[in-house]
Amino acid sequence: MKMMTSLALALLASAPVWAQDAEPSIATMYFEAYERMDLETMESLLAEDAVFTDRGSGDQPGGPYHYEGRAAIMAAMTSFSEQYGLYRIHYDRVMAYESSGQAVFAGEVEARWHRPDGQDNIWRGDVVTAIRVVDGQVIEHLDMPDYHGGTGSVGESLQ
Amino acid sequence: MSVFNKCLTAALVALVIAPAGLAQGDAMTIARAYLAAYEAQDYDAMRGFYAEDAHFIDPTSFDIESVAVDIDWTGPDAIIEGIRAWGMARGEYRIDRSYEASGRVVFLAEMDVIYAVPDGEVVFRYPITTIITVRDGQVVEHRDYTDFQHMHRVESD
Repeated sequence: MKMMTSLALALLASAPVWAQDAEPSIATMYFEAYERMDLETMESLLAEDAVFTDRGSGDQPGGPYHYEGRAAIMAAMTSFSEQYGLYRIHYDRVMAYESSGQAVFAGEVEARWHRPDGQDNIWRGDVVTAIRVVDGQVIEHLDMPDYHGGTGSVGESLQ
Repeated sequence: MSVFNKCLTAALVALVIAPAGLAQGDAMTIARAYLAAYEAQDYDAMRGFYAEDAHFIDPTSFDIESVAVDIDWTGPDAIIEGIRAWGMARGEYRIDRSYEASGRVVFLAEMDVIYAVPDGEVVFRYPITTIITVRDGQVVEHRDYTDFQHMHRVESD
């Protein structure tokens, strides 16, 4: 018990204070590029052997969304963008933090797809995204959306 | 852990397990009952939830100097040994949001970790994301993402 209490106190003493004007981290730059579907920036930050996995998509159309390697990830993102019209994945963040090269963004997401009639398909739901960075590159993108609890339908947008 | 807490945890486990077996419970029910056992640090109850190849991981701990051993254990024995070494008396989740997708239950929460000391308790608080994966009625993964940067000690009232 004493050892762990000391550990907790050591963690407190060593915790850096966030600088207000700190440069955005690699994880944040990648994540914000993902939010606006900026595929060029995403590609520049992904490691060649990066993995993208959507752990909540097992029962979604075409799921699970799991891609290994930068080329496979970018092919999927390009398909989502060009074939289905996905153009924005905005997070209303309730949690955002980083530790040990691992960034976590959680909250409510609003995904938007262009429809042929000029309107948008919209899906909103809770989500957690974890981004892992090693040697300045994103090596893992893990999503956990609440597809069933949200409003709208992802499946409808992928038809 | 108090006798009351142990009884409560045992009752929760019994409710989930009996009479039809763990496989009959849904992922959210199982994850919440498991989390109650984890909060109570009831190792026997926790063991009852774990699959043989269960994995307990907190990737946010890997580069924290003060965390001497990575929080990354496989198998009930290793998990319980690792958690027991923390020496916490109990934990308390204040859950902001929770949902389930594809057998994975997500908890966005603030957690208090409570240590018993000779003159009372010491409490540390931090935001946490916990994802419990349930397969065939058993917990196969407990994945934490801890906000170590915002960990703070809570002064007692």
